[in-house]
Amino acid sequence: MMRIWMMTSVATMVLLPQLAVAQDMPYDPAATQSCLAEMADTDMENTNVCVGRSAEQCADASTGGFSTRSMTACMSAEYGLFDEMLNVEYAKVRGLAADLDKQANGTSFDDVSMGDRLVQMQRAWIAYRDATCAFERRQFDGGTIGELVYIDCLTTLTADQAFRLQNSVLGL
Amino acid sequence: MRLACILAMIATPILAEGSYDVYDLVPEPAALQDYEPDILLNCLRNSGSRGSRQACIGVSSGACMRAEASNHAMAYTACTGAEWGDWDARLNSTYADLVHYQTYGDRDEMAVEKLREMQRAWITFRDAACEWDSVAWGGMLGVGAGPAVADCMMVLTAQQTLFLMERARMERERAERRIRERAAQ
Repeated sequence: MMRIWMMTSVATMVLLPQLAVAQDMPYDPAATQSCLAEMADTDMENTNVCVGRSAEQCADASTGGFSTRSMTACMSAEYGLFDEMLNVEYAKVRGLAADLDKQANGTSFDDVSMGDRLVQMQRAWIAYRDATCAFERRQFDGGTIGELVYIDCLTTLTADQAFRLQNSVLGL
Repeated sequence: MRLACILAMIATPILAEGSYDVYDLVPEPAALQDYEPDILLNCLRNSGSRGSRQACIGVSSGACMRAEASNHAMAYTACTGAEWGDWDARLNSTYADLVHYQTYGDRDEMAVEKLREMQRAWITFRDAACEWDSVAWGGMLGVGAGPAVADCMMVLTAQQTLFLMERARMERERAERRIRERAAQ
């Protein structure tokens, strides 16, 4: 019961913060997605080079071009892509961990289950993400550049965590 | 002594929560004969950007493993643990540099507090992430959690170090600008 509550609250926290996305923005996730698919086959360790591909194309095609404003809007859409990916990977790993906990059925070495460890990591990650991106925004003195730096920071860290979870499926 | 802890981890998977203090496990780089910190140092010196410095993660431990080929899992853990210790020392000095430049001239208490909060949250995350890796990979490798934990610690510490190095460089430029502006007044 306790665990269900903890997992639900983590899932909700992962969805936040939600950011407004401009309506007239030519964002297409295809560039990032095809890069990820290609890297999955050839170079699993460096999938992070794909992060921002679609956002770059989007800024290039925007009327505002590579202005802070249009880059922020495009990067917000990229963040949405990786936030969704993180939620999918988290649900997958959570399911695998729950299966393993069921199999162990009280025979594990201590009272802490795999599911609990996963929740602990994800909670610690959320606190780390928030503290890191708050630091980043402060480094660039708030303002409009601060917003772009903030959303860029969220996107990078969210992608890293999605890749980390994706990778740990191989070990489970 | 610390290296012995790392080696003991191979036989004893870490499972009990909070049963280890990660800093007790950082081995002295010098304790391992085949670990050469200069390989990493030169790689970092010859790399111009944060992106290319990423490729330096694991160069010294990789060379160490090839030299210590006798016992694979043991060499992996010891060599990776040695490079983790190497990065950990670099992280501490980079953090100190960043605080120094942040407070150079006029002290920005708010920025320093944000830095402290970030680093504290990072340490908690690192420990939780590597404990997760120890259970996620520990069962599969058949040699316990040692290699997985050492690898996780090395990579996360290295990535955080490279990030702080970038910010320290930026803060140093800002501090120098402040000094120039003050001199011009």
